[in-house]
Amino acid sequence: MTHKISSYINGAVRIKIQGENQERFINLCIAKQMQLWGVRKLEDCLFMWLSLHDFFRIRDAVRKAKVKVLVVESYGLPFFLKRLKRRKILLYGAIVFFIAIYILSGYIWFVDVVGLKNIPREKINLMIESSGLRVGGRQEEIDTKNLEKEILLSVPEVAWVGIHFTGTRAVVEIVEKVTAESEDKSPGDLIAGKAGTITECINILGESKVKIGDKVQAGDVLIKGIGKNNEMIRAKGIVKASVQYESFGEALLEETQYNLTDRSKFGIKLNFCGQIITLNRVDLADFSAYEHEVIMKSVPWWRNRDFVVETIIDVYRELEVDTIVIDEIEAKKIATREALTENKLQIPPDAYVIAQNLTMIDTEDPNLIRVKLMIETEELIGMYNQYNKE
Amino acid sequence: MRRRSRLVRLAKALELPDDIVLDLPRITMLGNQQLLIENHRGIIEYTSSCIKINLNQGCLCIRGEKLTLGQLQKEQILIEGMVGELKYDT
Repeated sequence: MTHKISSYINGAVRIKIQGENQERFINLCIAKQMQLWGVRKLEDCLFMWLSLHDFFRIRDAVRKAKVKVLVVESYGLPFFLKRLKRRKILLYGAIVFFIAIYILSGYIWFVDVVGLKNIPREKINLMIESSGLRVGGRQEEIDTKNLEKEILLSVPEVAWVGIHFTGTRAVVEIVEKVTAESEDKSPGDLIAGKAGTITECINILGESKVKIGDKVQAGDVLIKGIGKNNEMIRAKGIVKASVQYESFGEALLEETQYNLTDRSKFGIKLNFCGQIITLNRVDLADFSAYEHEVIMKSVPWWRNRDFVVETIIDVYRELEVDTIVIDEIEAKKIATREALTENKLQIPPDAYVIAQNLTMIDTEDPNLIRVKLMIETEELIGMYNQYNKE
Repeated sequence: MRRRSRLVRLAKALELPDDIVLDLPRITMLGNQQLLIENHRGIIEYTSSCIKINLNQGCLCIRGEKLTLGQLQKEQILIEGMVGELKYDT
């Protein structure tokens, strides 16, 4: 590695040696403490690398060995600099490029405002733009601390604000204040959201219309929003009821499955101005079952205006038919799982399951297992409606 | 010859490396890909299939395929390629 670096810094040349006494030339070079590498013989010519410094010392050895030397390749910093001297514009271009990069990196090219939820973006954008934080502005001219203070004081919804620069990007981070949600105090009744049997009824505000053990239907009034002096109020209370959910699940004892094999066939057709020309016909005699996919390829519309040409590729993939046989216990498990999944979609997450009952249902099909799953839960069924004046 | 045998005995007694005391070449081979020869006396012949190197004890003949001289210095020679045969011609 160090040899590579030093040879790059000092420069190296690859020379071609022609003549009788090539070995003598090598020995003379070695005797002069020169370092040679990549020595290779190709068609009576010897190629080798040596450092630029050593190259200027081989004159004696060349004369003594009576060989001809030709430089075929050069490598390293001295040669790069020499080339650069000849291509001055390139050098100036590079200098101008770096100066431009340096100057332009002092400007703001992107402004990001993050963390906004309820505050309108335009409001913040307007404020920061008026303070000079805009695309094209200079980074050093912006007093970020003052701007942070200004935003904090003029927008009351802001809890914290931080402005920082990452390269040419200005990031304005805003954390909004969390305000408590205002409670709806408009008058209303507490009504049943689902049908069930009342198991608990705690009346806080309003007039209770149900008691424990009552059967209610969805939409029945549970607590009436009416005050002591017959004024309209918002009913409040906790009403729990036992609710029944039922669902069905099915599973087959014998199931047919189609699996893809690795064999496929392709049919190619050409649609030329509405005329279908078959280029490759497919023989599907040896495929017992297959799936068919049609791929249409056409050239872009601007190339396909006068003559409509498109390729239609029919892909036929062979399918293997597998019959999976499962026992009755396993089928029952699958059916139960299906029924349970269906039930879980209806049951709210805070509901408490009281009972669960699974019954088998006789079917005419001996291959089919069907189950009925009944789940009884205790849950809050109250929900509000607009006040209904009776 | 007598001096040499005396030197061998002395090297053995003092547990000194033979290559230093007797000025012997040290030949290190890395598989059949690389061959490093230290303490050589120059090159006699070089082609891509045969390299002959002058040593104190005579000539070392290396035969193989695509033989190149990776590094060439006064003290050592590094031969790269497919080394097939190594032979001393004394």
